[in-house]
Amino acid sequence: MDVYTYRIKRFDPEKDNAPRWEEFRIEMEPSDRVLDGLIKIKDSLDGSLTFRRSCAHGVCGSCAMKINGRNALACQTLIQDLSSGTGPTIVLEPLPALPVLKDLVVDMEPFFGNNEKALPYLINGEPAPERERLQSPEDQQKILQAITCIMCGCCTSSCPSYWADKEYLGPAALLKAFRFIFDTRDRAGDDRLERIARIHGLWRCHSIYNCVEVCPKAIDITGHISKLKRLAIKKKLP
Amino acid sequence: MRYKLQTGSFAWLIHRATGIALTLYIFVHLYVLSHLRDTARYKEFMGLMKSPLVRLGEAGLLALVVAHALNGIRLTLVDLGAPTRIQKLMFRIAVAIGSLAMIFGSVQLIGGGR
Repeated sequence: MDVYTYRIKRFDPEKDNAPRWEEFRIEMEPSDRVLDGLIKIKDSLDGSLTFRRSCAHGVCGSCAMKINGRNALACQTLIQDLSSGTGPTIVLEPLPALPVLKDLVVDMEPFFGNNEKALPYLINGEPAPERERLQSPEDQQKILQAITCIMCGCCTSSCPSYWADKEYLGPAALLKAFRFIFDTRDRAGDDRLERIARIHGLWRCHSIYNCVEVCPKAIDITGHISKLKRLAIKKKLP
Repeated sequence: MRYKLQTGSFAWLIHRATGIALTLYIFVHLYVLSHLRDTARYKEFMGLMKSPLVRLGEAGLLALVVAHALNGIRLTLVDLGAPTRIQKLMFRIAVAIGSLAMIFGSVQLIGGGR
């Protein structure tokens, strides 16, 4: 067991005017996850420390936060994997660019609101077959990566274009649009494409790759967005 | 806001900065050119261009153009369908080509040849 310092950016809207830094020292194994430390602090040092977590196994996407300067899931980041730049100090902040509700909890409403704009559901007016709308394995491959998204918000809140333009749909919503536009069972691809092929949509992506760097599911988001850009250009959308 | 710089975001920052600088430069460039209307002023100005400081500035201008152009090619290739997984490799190649261009160009601009 080694002693690690957790340096956490805290904010309590009922007490604080501005965010403040607080440090906690706890004993942990290098193989422990960042989330384990947070739970330990909340259980034994300060019960008021607030953060989201549900599954703790990289599936729900609740514990996305900024860890040592870059977005990641706290449940998927091991202490030993953190770059040794900060030594035994682990710096935790809420996701950037989203309104902070308390400590490490941000308001995900703007994020989910953008997702809504991509019409994130299957649209197909044709009568459904008796059992299910079938898809060939080859067709499924086309959207396999996009389906893997867990909507944690790491990508969108790491994107400098989103920091500067809160109307920008962001990588996650564009990926969601991709997921349905390239789904052979969907029939509203053109409508979706028209919704995203605009200045606060596709064309705000400047291929900065911050989203790809942080995606906990290793999705090639920029690659997907550039595929959408090519489709929009082929269809001569603005 | 502080956020860890990585290859992609570093390249983007350079691209933005050089883009803005080149845009400002083009206005200065066009302003000066549009005021060189007779032979005497032209010659006077060309004399000024031989000063070491201006030559150093020209090397700086070349650096802006080279950086912006090479990264622009890197971005365009991905937009045209090059796999995004080679974006870091492409950045390194751009740095290598850019460095060679700068060594050759600086020798020409600062070292003489005119």
